[in-house]
Amino acid sequence: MSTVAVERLRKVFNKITALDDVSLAIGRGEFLCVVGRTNAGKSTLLKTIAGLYRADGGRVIIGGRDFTLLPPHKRHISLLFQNIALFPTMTGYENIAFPLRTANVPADAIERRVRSIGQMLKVEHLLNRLPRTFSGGEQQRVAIGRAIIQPGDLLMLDEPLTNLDASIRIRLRIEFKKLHRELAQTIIYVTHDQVEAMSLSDRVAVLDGGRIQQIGSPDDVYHRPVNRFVAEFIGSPPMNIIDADLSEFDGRLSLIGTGFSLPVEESEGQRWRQMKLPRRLAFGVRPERVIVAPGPTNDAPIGAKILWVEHLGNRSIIALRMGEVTLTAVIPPNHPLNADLRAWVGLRPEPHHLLSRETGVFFQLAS
Amino acid sequence: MMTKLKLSGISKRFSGRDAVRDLSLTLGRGEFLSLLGPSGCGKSTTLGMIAGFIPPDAGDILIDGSRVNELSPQQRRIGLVLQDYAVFTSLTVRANLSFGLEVKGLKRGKRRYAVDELARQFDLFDLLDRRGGSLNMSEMQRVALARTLATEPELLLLDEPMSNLDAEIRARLRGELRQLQKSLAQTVLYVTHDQAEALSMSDRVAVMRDGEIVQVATPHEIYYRPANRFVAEFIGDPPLNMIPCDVTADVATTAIALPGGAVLHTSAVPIASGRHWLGVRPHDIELVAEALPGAVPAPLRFVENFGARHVLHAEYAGDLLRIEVVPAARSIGEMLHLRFSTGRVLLIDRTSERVVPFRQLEVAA
Repeated sequence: MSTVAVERLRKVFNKITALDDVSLAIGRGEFLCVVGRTNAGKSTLLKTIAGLYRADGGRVIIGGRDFTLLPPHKRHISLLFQNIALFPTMTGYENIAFPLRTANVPADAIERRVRSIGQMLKVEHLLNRLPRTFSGGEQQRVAIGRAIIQPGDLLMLDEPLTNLDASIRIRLRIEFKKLHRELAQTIIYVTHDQVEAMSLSDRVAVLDGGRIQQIGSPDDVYHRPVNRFVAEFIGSPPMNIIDADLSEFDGRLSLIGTGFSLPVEESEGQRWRQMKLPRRLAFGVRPERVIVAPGPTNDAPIGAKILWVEHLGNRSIIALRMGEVTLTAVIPPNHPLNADLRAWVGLRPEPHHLLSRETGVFFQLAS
Repeated sequence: MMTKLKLSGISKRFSGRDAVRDLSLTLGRGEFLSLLGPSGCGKSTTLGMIAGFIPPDAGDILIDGSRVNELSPQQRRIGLVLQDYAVFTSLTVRANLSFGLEVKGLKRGKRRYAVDELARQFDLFDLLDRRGGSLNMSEMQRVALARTLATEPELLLLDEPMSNLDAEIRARLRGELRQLQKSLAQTVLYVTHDQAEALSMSDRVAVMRDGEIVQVATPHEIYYRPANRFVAEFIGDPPLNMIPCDVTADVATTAIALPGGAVLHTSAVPIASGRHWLGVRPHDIELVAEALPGAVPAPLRFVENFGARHVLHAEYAGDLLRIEVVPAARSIGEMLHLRFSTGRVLLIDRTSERVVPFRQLEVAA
């Protein structure tokens, strides 16, 4: 367990910058998820921290020690990859015990540790069997056991659930969360799935193009994204981002887009003015904040065409065409709209969800 | 709806093990049906038999009423898109699409126009001159789909076509694929292990387990009226809560005793007595103030924060319950008071694991 600091880490492969000045600080016992698309640099970051790649710049400091030039086996870091690699000729027990055997831990201590880990991960029935008889989820549980049996300074997991069935993924995700509470181990977890990142993390680091876009709590990245990438990557369906012009008529501010006009509430006007906004901008609305009604109402005055509805059981996602704009909304599963072709939509732009159309950066609220 | 595909008692054994056992299923023209189940349940084997790559040991496969068991894959006029798309990496996107049209027998002169039309439909126009190998996964998926649909297959079989894609792209493609399928009125059989894909796109879902179909129904029915414990627990994210309970039925009412003393009553037709499970969807648990009758206490252990919603994990009857709620400030360790009264709970027999039908439940005073 340790504090991990990554300072201005750089990694270049054949002139392609995979990591571009990445800085991170992870507290003792913290669970940090690094989330991003394929090729964002997530795995490169893990491998550089682990020492499997040599950094082209920057430092890795763990527990106050500079690890940047230390060989991987001296780093006391456990690493678990997406492709589960259990020793095929060893039983579940021997696979989990392996790190302790190589560290010459006495047999009775190994026995105690393997049994207790086996119980925690619910793999006791696998201890005397060979990996080829395990299901995918069982293999991954045993691999997790092997990764955590020898607590190091840092546990790093690279997409550990990606190759598993969705139903197993949903359940193992919770196991990770429980495990972290029991082990109090510092964890860096890499995933392309923002649902996993949001569910598991104390903090989320959003990576794109080798650069950290934002680091913050799940609430921060969801409710206060810094830029368009984060706003669209976090949340499923993503935040709606709609172009509009800010105009003032008779002292009243409005957002005017193609086919719609959204007045800013008078009580909010002062706050908007203090932000010194440009005329051309865009605003973001989370799908669950879009008001959808089967007929025109004061809250939902804009007519829209329903493109499709996805029923997910606990909620439905509805795609709408409003003038030139396509937007998604989340509605309860029993919403009366589901079968209709037309809907009425209400949007209430909020000052912390206004962004620049050119740079995609959200405007700061005036303090 | 006219029947496009009919499977009548098909079976397949691999090295002494039943992969698919006496499976029957019909698929209507223009219908989108998902075969949903865990790895190894036999769904891809079923697909292979329909496509003609795996000969069934028994049973008949009928397309438009004619038996096709002896026909080759090509003769069956089936389009197939697999997990790895098999896009020709050294050919351009244009050549890939053109190949599909050539298979269909379209003359060279007409092909060019048809390729442009396909490219427009699948948003591939800007990629036409790129080589297959330079595409990303979602572009490849669109090329594979476009190329296959260009052959105007009688039946389109899709085997986990989104498995290799990032979660973000998967969620977006679901809606697009469904819209496309509807506009073409294409009959689709879609194989997946992902209940979200099956629920969101399908007209009907067939849930498979151990080589057999457990239930075939609309997504709504699969979600709210699962046939048994397996379906109930397989469907739903976050998963269904299973609470042990004791049922006592007399002539007029049925009482369901929960751990901790709360009792639910129903005036429905008496249900068999004994030990059952109460199945409750995480969004159907109600958080109430302490004083209300029928509520059970459960300390909050941790919270999953998905932004738009929170999933609370609270300790009850030696297990963790999942409760899906709108976000609000809460502290770990805080005592929650839960009520299962929405009329959307399931009763599951612990021996047979079947869901027991009953009407709305009410909370006892």
